[in-house]
Amino acid sequence: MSLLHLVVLAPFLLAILIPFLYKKFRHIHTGWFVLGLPLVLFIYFLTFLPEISGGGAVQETVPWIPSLGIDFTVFVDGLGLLFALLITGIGTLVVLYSIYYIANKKDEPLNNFYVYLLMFMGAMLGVVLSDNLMVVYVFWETTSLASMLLIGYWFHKERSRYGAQKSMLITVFGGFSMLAGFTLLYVMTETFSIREIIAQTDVIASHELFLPAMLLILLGAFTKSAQFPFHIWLPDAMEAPTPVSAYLHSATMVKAGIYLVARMTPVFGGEPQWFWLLSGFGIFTLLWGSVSAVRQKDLKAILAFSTISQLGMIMTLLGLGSAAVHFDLANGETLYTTAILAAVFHLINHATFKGSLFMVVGIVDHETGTRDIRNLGGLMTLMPITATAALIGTFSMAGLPPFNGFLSKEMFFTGVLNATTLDLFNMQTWGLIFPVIAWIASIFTFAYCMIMFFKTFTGKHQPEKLKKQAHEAPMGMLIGPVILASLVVVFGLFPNVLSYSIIEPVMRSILPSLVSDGGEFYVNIYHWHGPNTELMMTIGVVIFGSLVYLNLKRWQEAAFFLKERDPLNWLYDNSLVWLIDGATWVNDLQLTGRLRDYMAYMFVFFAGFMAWGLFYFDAIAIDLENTAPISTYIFVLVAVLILATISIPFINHRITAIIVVGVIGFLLALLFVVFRAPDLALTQLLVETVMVVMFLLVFYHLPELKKESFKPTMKISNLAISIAVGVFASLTALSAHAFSYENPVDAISNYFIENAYTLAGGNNMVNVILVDFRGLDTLLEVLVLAIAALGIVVLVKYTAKGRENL
Amino acid sequence: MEIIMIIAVGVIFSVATYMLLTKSLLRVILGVMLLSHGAHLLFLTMSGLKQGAPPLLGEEAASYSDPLPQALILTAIVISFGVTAFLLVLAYRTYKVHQTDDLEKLRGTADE
Amino acid sequence: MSAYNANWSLMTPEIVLMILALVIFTLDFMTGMSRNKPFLGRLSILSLLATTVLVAVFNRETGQIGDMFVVDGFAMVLKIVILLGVAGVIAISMYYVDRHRDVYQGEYYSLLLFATLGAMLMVSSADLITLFVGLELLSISAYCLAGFKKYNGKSTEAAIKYVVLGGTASAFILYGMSFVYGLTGTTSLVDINEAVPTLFADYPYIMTMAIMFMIAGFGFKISVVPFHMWAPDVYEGAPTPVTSFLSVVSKIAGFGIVLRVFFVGFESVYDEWAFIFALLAAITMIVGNMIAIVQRKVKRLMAFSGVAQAGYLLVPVATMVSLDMTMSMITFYAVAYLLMTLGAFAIITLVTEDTEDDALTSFSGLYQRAPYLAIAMTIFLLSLAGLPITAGFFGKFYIFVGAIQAEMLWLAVIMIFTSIVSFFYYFGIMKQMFMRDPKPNDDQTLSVPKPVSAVVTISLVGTIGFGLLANVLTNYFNNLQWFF
Repeated sequence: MSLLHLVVLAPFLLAILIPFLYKKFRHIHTGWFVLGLPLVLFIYFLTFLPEISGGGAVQETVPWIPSLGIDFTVFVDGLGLLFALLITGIGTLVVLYSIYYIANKKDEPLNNFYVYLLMFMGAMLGVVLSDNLMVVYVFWETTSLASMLLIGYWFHKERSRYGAQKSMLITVFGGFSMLAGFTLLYVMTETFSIREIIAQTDVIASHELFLPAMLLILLGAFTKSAQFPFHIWLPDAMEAPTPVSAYLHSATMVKAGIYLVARMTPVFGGEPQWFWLLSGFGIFTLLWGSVSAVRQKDLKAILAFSTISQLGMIMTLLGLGSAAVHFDLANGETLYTTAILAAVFHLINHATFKGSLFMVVGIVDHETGTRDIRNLGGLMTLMPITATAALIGTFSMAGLPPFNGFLSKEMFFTGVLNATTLDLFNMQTWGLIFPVIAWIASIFTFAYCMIMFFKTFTGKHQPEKLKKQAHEAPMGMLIGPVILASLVVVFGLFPNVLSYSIIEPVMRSILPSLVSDGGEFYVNIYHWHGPNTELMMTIGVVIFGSLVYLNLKRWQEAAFFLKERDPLNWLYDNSLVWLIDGATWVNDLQLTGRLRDYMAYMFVFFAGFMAWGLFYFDAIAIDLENTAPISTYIFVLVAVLILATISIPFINHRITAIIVVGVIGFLLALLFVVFRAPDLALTQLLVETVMVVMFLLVFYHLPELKKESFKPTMKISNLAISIAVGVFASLTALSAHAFSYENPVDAISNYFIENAYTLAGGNNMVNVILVDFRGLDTLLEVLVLAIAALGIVVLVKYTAKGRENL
Repeated sequence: MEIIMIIAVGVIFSVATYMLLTKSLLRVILGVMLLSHGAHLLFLTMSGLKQGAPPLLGEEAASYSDPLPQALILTAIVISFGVTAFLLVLAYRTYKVHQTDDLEKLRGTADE
Repeated sequence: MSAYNANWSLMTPEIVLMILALVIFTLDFMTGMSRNKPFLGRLSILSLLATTVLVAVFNRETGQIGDMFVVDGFAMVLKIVILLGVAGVIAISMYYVDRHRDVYQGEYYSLLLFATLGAMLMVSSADLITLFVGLELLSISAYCLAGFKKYNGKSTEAAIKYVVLGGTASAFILYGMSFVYGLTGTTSLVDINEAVPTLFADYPYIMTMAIMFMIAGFGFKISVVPFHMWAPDVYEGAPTPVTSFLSVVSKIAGFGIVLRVFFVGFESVYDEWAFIFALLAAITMIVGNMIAIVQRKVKRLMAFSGVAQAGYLLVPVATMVSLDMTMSMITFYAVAYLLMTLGAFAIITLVTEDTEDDALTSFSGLYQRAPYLAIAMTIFLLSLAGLPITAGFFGKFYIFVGAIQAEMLWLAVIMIFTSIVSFFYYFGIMKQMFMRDPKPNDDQTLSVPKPVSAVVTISLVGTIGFGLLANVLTNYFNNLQWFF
């Protein structure tokens, strides 16, 4: 247990304390107790920067389940550190923001909120800092759980419950798939350690389980990072309180999928499937998200789809960059590593501008009571600080200089343009698709950014449509967005603050095979590249994007823009309906509650199986040779037995029925006598007598038998089943009889015959067996009878007070 | 002989099955009884019907019929007696509580 | 074959338990008809714990009594699981019996103890007859227990269905066994194992029938699809603690006998029957999880959840790579299953009794009424669904890895997909607990009686403990000699 382990577990430990703190200090907002932790952790992680920038890595191991190779290994390298800083840094701002956003009211379960939030924070740190895949999985599912609980925080709203369930089902589905993928990796490499798996890349690549493992792991990543078509949970997750949306659903949790893909690039990168799946799904998500965002009327919904689209963009970049693994490029070759560089850089930028935008939207919602852009407008003068932060955020997202979004957008264009020159994976023919789609998506991105800013902050103020009197937010709420917005500007103006301190180490983690010892990637980010294609594309985006925005009225009348719901929701909702319908159908089919049906299943199975076996093994055989001779006496007995049996179903009088069944029992006893089983005959006689008496006693209390009135179909099926049972049971018995004479077995019975007298001192072998050789079984049998008697006593026993009315 | 016995057992099984599939609780109980009768007879038949004297050592026969199956059948007779007796009383109890012996009406929650 | 000079001390736990059960029965008889006899419950728990200690002492060495009764690692572990399970069931029952005056306590507890005895004999028997008698001992006690609320229509109805169907299932087993005896001339599992390979070659039809009928009969006892129809009706009608007995103890003992018969008696023809179990496991997982979705009553839901769990437990039976690994997987899952199911049933008993309603909605707002129970229930449900860091997760994970190592990918895939489906209905209960307000006419806080909270706490500690420290148990299991 090292300090690092404690750091990962610290949020969980604090979470346990929170309910007590909440109860004890009811008048203090619980958020203040939480605030310190992410801040301290952030500063702690900052101290790692020098070492990690120098190319080092820190690792601490605690064995957990050594027999399966599961250790709790905390591993801090560039990639892990970047995420840890994001989680704790943005976490600090979000907690601060939430203190003002969620009021400390009487019926507000603040303790739950912070318990869930801390649970998430710890789990997320665990995901990004663990080297062991099983540990990653454990924390991964915990983030899903925390996310579900936070989405359902205001559970009185139906939409919240719906959103919570949806996110849970989709992400847990992904989680399970990912676990399966991890297990396949384990089967291939016999280790769960990511670094040991990376060391065995050659073994994996040629293994037949390679592709299934890749697909399953990608399923996990795509569901978590809301890639098409799994993105539908994210818009519904916006029912969570806005600080949660800002934290989980834009800055951190949804990037867990990105993290996973980046981590796995050394393992799977360089394979065409990986390349195509990532960049294909990514670029389509980018387009889908940006187009969908334009249709939204709710500010948070716009942000949700924008997040989806931006995640798609990062995914595309990771996919394009993975081509670099394929070539063993020399140091300094930047053609494909640029894409990775862009991915990492945009990841940081997205966290900053999207985090600030979410907080801004939260402020607007909090201060005006609505997020609907049709009701908003003209807030610039009323909320100047908020408006400034929003301006910076949206313009950066739109890819305008001098903000950081411009830089990463340019690099993104470089990345997709480079992809066209790749003479690999059929890129000669299909490569052009990437820049085209990227460019179209960027136009829509530009448009929704403009919608967000101008519809909210400019235009006519409509106080009558707002629930509250709009005014600027309190100081505490503004700190978060302002800090993030200023980071947007700082990173925009001085991008190289980041380049060697953090971006280069991250690239080193993603592409370890491309740097020789001591070498490093060349990372230099600057604004002016000269009038190249990328710049032309950006200018095109601005022009066409403005056109889209200006002609919005005309666009929005089209039916396409009137529908806000993503069409894929239809698939999700209906597949749940189908599942339930199907289950109901199976349920109604089987569980009728009728004993008759249950019996029928068993007998159909019984007869059907014997029929199948008889024909499959060709086992129908009758042996007429080795049979005992038939005496007339026995013949008459059997004939009476059969006749009596057949008559039973036709008897509608209870006493007659009992007597006939009794007759059958006595006939059986006679048969036992004939077949040299005197003990059986005696027992049967006794049992049958007692039975008849009992029947008569009980039947006295039961109603007269009624004639069975079945539907004809039911009657026929009953008849068919019973005849089939009889016929196949007989055939099987005949076959067994025939075979057993082919090859008579020397039974253990000889042992009893020889030893009955010598060992047990008895002449009646059956008795000796029962009370001596198998005395234990007989004892138990007596116990069984006793229990049946006990059961009967319970059922007929009256209470001291007589019948109770229960 | 065995063949006739097996056919008789088949008939007993058929009738027992038919009774088990009916609606009346009483008939179901009779079906259970018949089923156990059939099973005992079948077991005895399968163990061979003609080998030697009864399994009593005093009979001084060259061979005896197999004693172990007889012991098993004895066990089975007794256990099925216990179960049937319990079932009978349970039927009585069910009738007292439900005021019907029609299994169609004992369908619990299926219709809810 | 002789039992005269056998080491009967091996049977000490069973004998002691039987005596104690009789003592409890007599004590009830002697203390008259007054109803409230909490000491009987406590005494029963003490008897079970004493027997557990005896098992741990006397069953450490392997041994046998005349080929009928064997003691080995498998018997010992399962006996301890069963005994502790029944102790938990009785703790839950104490609360239940207290509220239901129409339950005769003396008979109730002694029946439970006799059923336990049957279960112990089942897992310890190496002979078809002993095994069958043990099974009947357990079954008949269970029939009686299911109908124990004799003035309650649902309870008697459940008992009727259970007896008739259970009797038919027993007949199936007997039918299968008689074929085996007819061909091998022996009832000893070890001897059968030696004889079956040639018999399979000579009489494939009879042997297949024999195996199939035994699987059908045992499958009924452990409620595997397609022999599961009785489970929901009986689970719903039976008194709730009895339901927990059926779903925990009866099922684990049933698995014990399946494993004993097939891994000792038919191990030499593994290839002939493994595929049948694979198919059963597959349809059990699919159907069990599917139907559970539409259940509106919590006990019916648990019945299907239990069906599905049985499906997971069958996977390792069908995907054996090495016997020791398979046994260790199954027993680990059995332990996990015991803990999570028993804990869940303790809470279900309390909640359904308190609200006098067994619909899923009886759980609404539990988090506000009793936060500890709600969190505990969530962990049990997560464990049942197979999410970390619970015992259920590792149990399922071992089985999953085993299935992949045995190259039964399709089974592993079904396992994953059905687990996702299962999450859907477990989530339904969680939604009720956390995302609904309590019903207006329920008490705002639910008081938790001591025995129930003890069961919940122990199960919770176990579920999380074996989740965090799974290797404690697996290390022990890996060094165990399973079959003598």
